[in-house]
Amino acid sequence: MLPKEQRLRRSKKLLSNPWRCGGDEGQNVSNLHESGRIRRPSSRHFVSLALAPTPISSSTKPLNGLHTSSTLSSPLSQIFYPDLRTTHYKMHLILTGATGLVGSAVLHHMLSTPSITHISILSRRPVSQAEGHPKAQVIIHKDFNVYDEEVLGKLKGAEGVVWALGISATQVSKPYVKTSDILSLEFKWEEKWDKMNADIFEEQ
Amino acid sequence: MLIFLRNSEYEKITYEYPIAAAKAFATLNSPKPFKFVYVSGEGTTTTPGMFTPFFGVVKGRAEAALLCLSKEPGYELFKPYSLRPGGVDPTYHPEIKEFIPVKQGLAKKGEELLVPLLRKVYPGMISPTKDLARVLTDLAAGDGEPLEGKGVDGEGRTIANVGMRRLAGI
Repeated sequence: MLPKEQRLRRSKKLLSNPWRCGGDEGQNVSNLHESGRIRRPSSRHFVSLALAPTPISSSTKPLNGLHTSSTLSSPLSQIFYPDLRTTHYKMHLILTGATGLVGSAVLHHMLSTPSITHISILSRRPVSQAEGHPKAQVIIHKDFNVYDEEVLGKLKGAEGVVWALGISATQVSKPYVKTSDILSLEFKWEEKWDKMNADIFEEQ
Repeated sequence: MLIFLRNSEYEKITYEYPIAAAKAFATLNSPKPFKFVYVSGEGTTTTPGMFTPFFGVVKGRAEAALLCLSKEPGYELFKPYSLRPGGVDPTYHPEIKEFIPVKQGLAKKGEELLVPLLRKVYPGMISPTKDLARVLTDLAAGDGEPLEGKGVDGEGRTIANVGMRRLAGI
């Protein structure tokens, strides 16, 4: 048993980490025990934990009711986090719009978060920000209306997607300012119109 | 004619693409839920009025369609969220400076003036990219359950900028 002061300090340190993901706490504590970093806590230790006040740190406040993914500097943060080296933990996420403002911020966060193990980026063009990161896979995708078996095979097992693909309502007109574009599109529209008329006639 | 083209292109990117993807992705994580986090925008509404901006109408329709999709048979595992950022502010995110698109002309001027002003006067309208990115990622990685509290609406699946800031702890 450790001296009382030391125990208190330890329990406070444990509590200063606000992330509690539940689940494998006990298992991870025993991992730390094996690595010789801390002793296996006694039942008295847990009592002192339950009674001590919870400090609130503003910089690393957890998202209310969310499983969180941020990295923490405290070495004890591993108690509440899956051990990425020993368990078969995986977190595969999809990202679109990675070359935009929001998308590049999300990509930076995903790349720098160890608990995210695999990132699939659907993009029309290469993503320079993802280069040199083995956990990021850029899938060049041209038509975001269609997802064939090949693409879906690569995305299989993904937990979720951040859909940051978009365009400013004021910017979208720019490609159409060129006269040649307008003409070609008008031509396409006429074609479509003719086809629609033909369909109507066929139905009748 | 121009307006028609403009609108159709905007709708294709803002509405059709995410819905098509949602349908294709819904069962990727089967038998576990799949979370779809749609980046919408402040000013969006699912009940547009006379003064709703055009982007707000289209994005609102996309939000509503994603919610409806999650209630359709066969989409039990599909868990959508829509997050509406305010003024996206990369000032305190120097790591992404070299990768973000450069704005030009009026948009650049407007941003240079507006964002620092809003940050001082009305910080609730600002979305710092670091916090925004963290909340978006955590929603996609989370359990997919509805959220609660201030700034959360639409069956716990639509998060206003105020809600995003609260979740991020700022």
